[in-house]
Order: sequence, then C-alpha cells, then structure tokens
Amino acid sequence: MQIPTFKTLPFIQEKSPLVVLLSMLLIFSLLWMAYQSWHAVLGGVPNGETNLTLSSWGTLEELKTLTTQVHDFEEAHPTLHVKIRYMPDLYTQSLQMLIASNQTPDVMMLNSLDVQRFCQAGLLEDASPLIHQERNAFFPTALTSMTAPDGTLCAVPRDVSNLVVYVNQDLLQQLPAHTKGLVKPSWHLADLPKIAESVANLHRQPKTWTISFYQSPALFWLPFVWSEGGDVFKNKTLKLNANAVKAVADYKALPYTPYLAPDRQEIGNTTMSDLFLQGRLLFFLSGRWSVPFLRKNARFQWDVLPFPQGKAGSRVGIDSTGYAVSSRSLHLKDAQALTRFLSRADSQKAWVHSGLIVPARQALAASDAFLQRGQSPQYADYFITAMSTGVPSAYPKNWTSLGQSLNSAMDAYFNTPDLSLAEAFEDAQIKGAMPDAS
Amino acid sequence: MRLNTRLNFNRWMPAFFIVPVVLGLFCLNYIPSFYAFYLSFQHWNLLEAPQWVGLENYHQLLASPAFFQTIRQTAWYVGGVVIFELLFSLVIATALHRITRGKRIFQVLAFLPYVTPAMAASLIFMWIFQPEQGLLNSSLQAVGLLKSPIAWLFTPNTALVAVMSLEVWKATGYNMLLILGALQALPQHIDEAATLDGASGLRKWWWVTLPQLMPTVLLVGMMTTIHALQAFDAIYLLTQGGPNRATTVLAYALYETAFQRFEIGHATALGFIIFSIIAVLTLMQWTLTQRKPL
Repeated sequence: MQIPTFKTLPFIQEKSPLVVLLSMLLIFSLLWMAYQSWHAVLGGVPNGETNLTLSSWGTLEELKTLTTQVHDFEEAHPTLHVKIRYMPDLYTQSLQMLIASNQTPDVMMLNSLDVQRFCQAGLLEDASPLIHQERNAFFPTALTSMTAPDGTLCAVPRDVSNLVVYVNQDLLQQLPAHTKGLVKPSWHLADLPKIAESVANLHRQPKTWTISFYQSPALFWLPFVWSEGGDVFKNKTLKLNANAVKAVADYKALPYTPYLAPDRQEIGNTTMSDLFLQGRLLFFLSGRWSVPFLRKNARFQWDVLPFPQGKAGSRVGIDSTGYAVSSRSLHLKDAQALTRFLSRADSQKAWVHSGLIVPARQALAASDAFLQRGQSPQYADYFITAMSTGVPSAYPKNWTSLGQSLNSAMDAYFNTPDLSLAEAFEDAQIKGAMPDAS
Repeated sequence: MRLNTRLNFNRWMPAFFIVPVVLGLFCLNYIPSFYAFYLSFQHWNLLEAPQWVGLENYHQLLASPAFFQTIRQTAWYVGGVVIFELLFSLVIATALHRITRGKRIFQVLAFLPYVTPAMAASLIFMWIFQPEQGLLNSSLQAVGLLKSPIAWLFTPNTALVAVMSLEVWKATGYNMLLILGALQALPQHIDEAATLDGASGLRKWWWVTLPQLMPTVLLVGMMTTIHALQAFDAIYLLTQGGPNRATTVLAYALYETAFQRFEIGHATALGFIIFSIIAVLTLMQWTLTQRKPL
C-alpha cells in the first residue's frame, strides 16, 4: 500500500494558498497572544501611560465598590490604568501562583495573615510613608496586625475584623427572666451551661442550641482560650500554657453538654450561619461580615453582644485586611498612589456603607456612617469596644504549615471523645506544644 | 510556478503541522514534569526562592505516619471503588444485554451519572447523607433499620464509604458501556454450544461468558484503579479530607500539601510517588492486556 504524502493530499494540491494563509494566521495569532502576555507582565504601554494591577477577592457587590473606586482613581490620574485581578475563590493560592510566575500584582488586598507571610518573605514595600501623617487615624491594633516582627508596616489597613456574639432576640425573649438577666454585655462563659438549661426547657423542634461551635479555623475557638487566660503561642511557635489546655478541653465539651452547642454528628454540613438563620441557635459567634447577610435574610430580631468574659476578660482575635504594595512592582510610585487613594477615609466609607466591614479608621468607626443607628445591630459599638481588649494577630512565617498541622490535630481532638490533646499533637507531629510537666 | 512548488511544501509542511503538537507536549507536559521532579528535591513556598534539600522531602514523607495512613486509606478507597464498580458494571451490562425492550432507555439512565457534573452530584450526595432529613437516614429510620441518625460524612468510620459510593455511582455507567460493548461482540456460537451441552444461567455466565470478557474486565479494572488513585473532586467537595483525615487519599494529600501548606517540594515528591504507583499499574495493565485471550 502506498503511504499518502502531503503531495497527494487534495487540499494541499488544490488549495495551498489557503493553507498558507491559515497557517500564517495561526502563527500571527500565537505571536499576538505572546506579545499580549508579555505586555501584561511588563505593565507598560507605548504612549507613556502605565498599567497597574490590583488583586482582590470578595462578592460581586464588593467588586462593584472596588471598580467604582478604581474608576475614580483613573479619572484623577489619566495616565494610569488599573486592571483588577478579581479572584473570588482560593485567593491566597491564586495569588501565590501569580507571585511564583513573576506576575505579582502591583497592589494586593491582603489579610493580616498573608501580610505577615508575604512581608517576611520580602515581597511587600514599607507602607509607613503612605500614612505617616495620619498614623493616629487608624486603630493601633489594626496597624499592629499589619506590622512585621522587625517593625515594618507592610500594608495600610482597610478594615479590622474581630468577633462578637450575634443574639436571636426573639428566641431570647422566650427564656425565663432569670436567664435573660444573664445575657448582658458583661456576661460570662460560665453562664453558658445555665442558659443551655433554659434553652433545653423550651423543647423546640427542630432542636435548638445555645451557641455556635466551630472545629476550625482556630480563629473561632481561640477566644475561649484567650478569655480564660490561655495562650497558644510563645516566641512565634506553638506552645500552650496550662490555662489553654484546660480552656480547649472545656471548649471540646460544649457539644457534649445537652443543648449547649451543636455536634457535627447531629447537623452534618449545615453551617452555623444557616442554623442561626433557621432560628436554631440562640448565639452565633461571627464577625462584622455577617451583618449584610443577616440584614437581608433574618426573619427575626437580632443584635450583637461582646464575647462572654472568662478569667482574663473578653478577648477575641483582631485581624485586618488592607492594601499592600508589591516590592516587585515596576511602577512603585504609581502603586503607592493607588494604595493611598484606596485607603482614604472616603474610600473606606464606601465599604462601610454596605455594613460589611469595621473601618480601620477610628473616626469613621465612631461616625454614624458605621454605627448606622436605626438598623440592626443596634449595638454596633461592641465591634469597636472589642478592639481595646482583643488580641492582635501575630502569625509566624510558617503559619500556613503550622496552622494546617494545628487544624489537623484539633480536628482529631474534637472528633475523638477519648483522645487527649497531647495525643492529638503527637499524631499530627507537632512537637513541644504542650506545657512542660513542671 | 505553483505556490506549493516554490515553497517546497512537501519538505517542510509535515514539520509545520507536527511541531506545534510536539512543542505543546514539551512545554505543557514534559518540561513541567521534569521541573516538578527537580522541585521535589527543593523547599519552595511559592514566595521565596527554592532551596535545594536533596532527598529530604522523600525522607520526610517516608518517615511520616500520616503518609502511611494516607496510603492505607487510598488502598481501601481504590479497592472498594474497583470492586464495586466492576461488580455493578458486570451485573448491569449482563442485564442490559439480555433485555430486549427499552434497552436504549436503560443504557441512557445508567450512563447519566457519568455525565452529571461533580459539583451537582456532590450536592445530591450531601443531601442523601445529611444526618437530619437526609434521604438515607430517613429511609433507614422509616423501615426501622436505624434508631438514631448517622452523620455519614462526619463519622471517621463511614466517611470513606460515603465518598466511595459517589465515585461508584458516577463511574459505573461508563464501565458498564465498555463491558456491554464487549458482551455484544462475543461470538454467539460458543454460547449456543454451551447451551447445547446443558450449561445454563449463572454457570454458563461464570464458565463461558466471563472468561471471554476477562480482557475487557481487566482493562476496565486497571482504568478504574488509575482513575481512583487520582480521586480528588468528590473528596474536596464532600469532606475536605476529614473528619480526622479519614478521607485523605493521596491526590487530596497532594493538593493539601501544595495549596494549603504551600510546601511545593513536599507535594511534588508526593506526586512522584503517586506517579510511580500509577506507572507500575499501567505496566501491569499493558502486560495483562498483551496476553493472549483465555
């Protein structure tokens, strides 16, 4: 059999100019795509204008707010163009892939955990010059959470996040007077089992619990530890003190106490916010980000309270989100101008309007723009008061790995009734985290 | 002079068509694979420059109890998925081969799960396994087989089985089609001869049909094994490797190491261990399928 050659193919014989044309088109398309990619990486345009990239996550509503602000910035700076890299899911992963492929955005929206990691890796510019004249305008805890161990401010905070307890007021009204009396701003962790007894006596169907329960992330169980005088870090490594071990054990016991907290075995993958929304949780531990969601969806009266006090008071973690300038940016001055613009009081006000954030600027947080009297929550001030007693986040450089190991150990600890904390740490190969026997 | 003669088409046109494919393979497949192998000897967190650590990543993996727990779970997962998928595929294919009416409808129904998007299938299975008002618990309680609800996806002893059931449900239809195709291609005269010799029912299927199907069954078994070793989406969507790492199999562990812990060197070392296992299995498949039919 004769093997066909290209010469024998009819379209080669008859329509060769077309083949050449199509081939050329293909080659030019590939070259054009390569040029575009190269152009996007370098961020420059021939006529003296500059392209900046800004990365962010969030809902579509948040993207709309950001786009408006970027548009205002471009109007004020006609030679600058800002491309928003919107990555709503797996933001940190996507961003690190961009960094690894040398496509670091000029300006990045980052939470304090990532700010600490990125800054300690030398990826962020010093942000102090951007706010040096108005440093006092920001909450000190917000600045602390954006500051590297060597004292460099690595990002300008946009908002601060802490935790408060959301209360289902309608459900609370059904409890006896002596129980309702316990639920006040200066309430105590020790009161929770007593409140649970009253919740049990309501005999509600479907079952209703007293307070939300999270196994991870640590953000949700650490307030129970800190408020009881416990600590889990020492010299930037995982090291629990005796109070922390007891507090974690007490936390683990919450779902085993009737009607105190829901157990995964009972609720499966129903989220805590869904349970609260369904009226099946009296208290729901969450941050400011739940406000727009509850305003839109809750069909009952609700408000907020500070986290209950333990031996050491009411102590929740304080994190921040803000804008950081990449030290790899080819347009450092322009990137700083964009960061300065996005961190203005006016820009933060636009975010506050939706109820989503607690602004990092103190004056804005004290204004009606944030407090929004007449709307739930009526006691929005508690988001601010939590700042004075809270624990600013201070993450070690290897936190992603350490945090995963910690989550893994706590997952085993919370899911295995007979497992001790020491055994859980041993299984997760976390060494030296338990308090010394002495 | 004609254009193709001027440009000497026959000499360079084949290369013109082949080069993009070869380039694509090199750029998107071989070079990244070699680079990944090189990375498996480094520490890299995607932020700082990689650091050469030699065999440390492999050493750490092989010294870690969690790695062997993951291997055990992967073996259970792969074993369960392969056995049940083969069993169900054989049963359904045999049944469909025998029926004369509505064959096409049943084929489509059996194949539908395979084309269902993983996300949609996972949502359905989340509801099925939900402790409160989930289909499985409600049904078992209704017939008196269960007293108190079970959190199938949140109990270490049942979570892996629950995830396996999704994979089996999704892939059985595809395997069934392959086996059904093989069944339909079997020569009728052997079956008729066996009938004349007095063989019938299950005996005939076991001693006559199944041996003829073995090459296809082996192929399907190997393909299912390789596919099950790469299981990720169902686990990511249903359990995220939990509870208590009970559903962390090799592919999920790789994802977790690379994109949650950002230990890229460690993850690529794990990737090459998975690659070695799959390579051995592929070699076995190749050897088995090269054998002459029974």
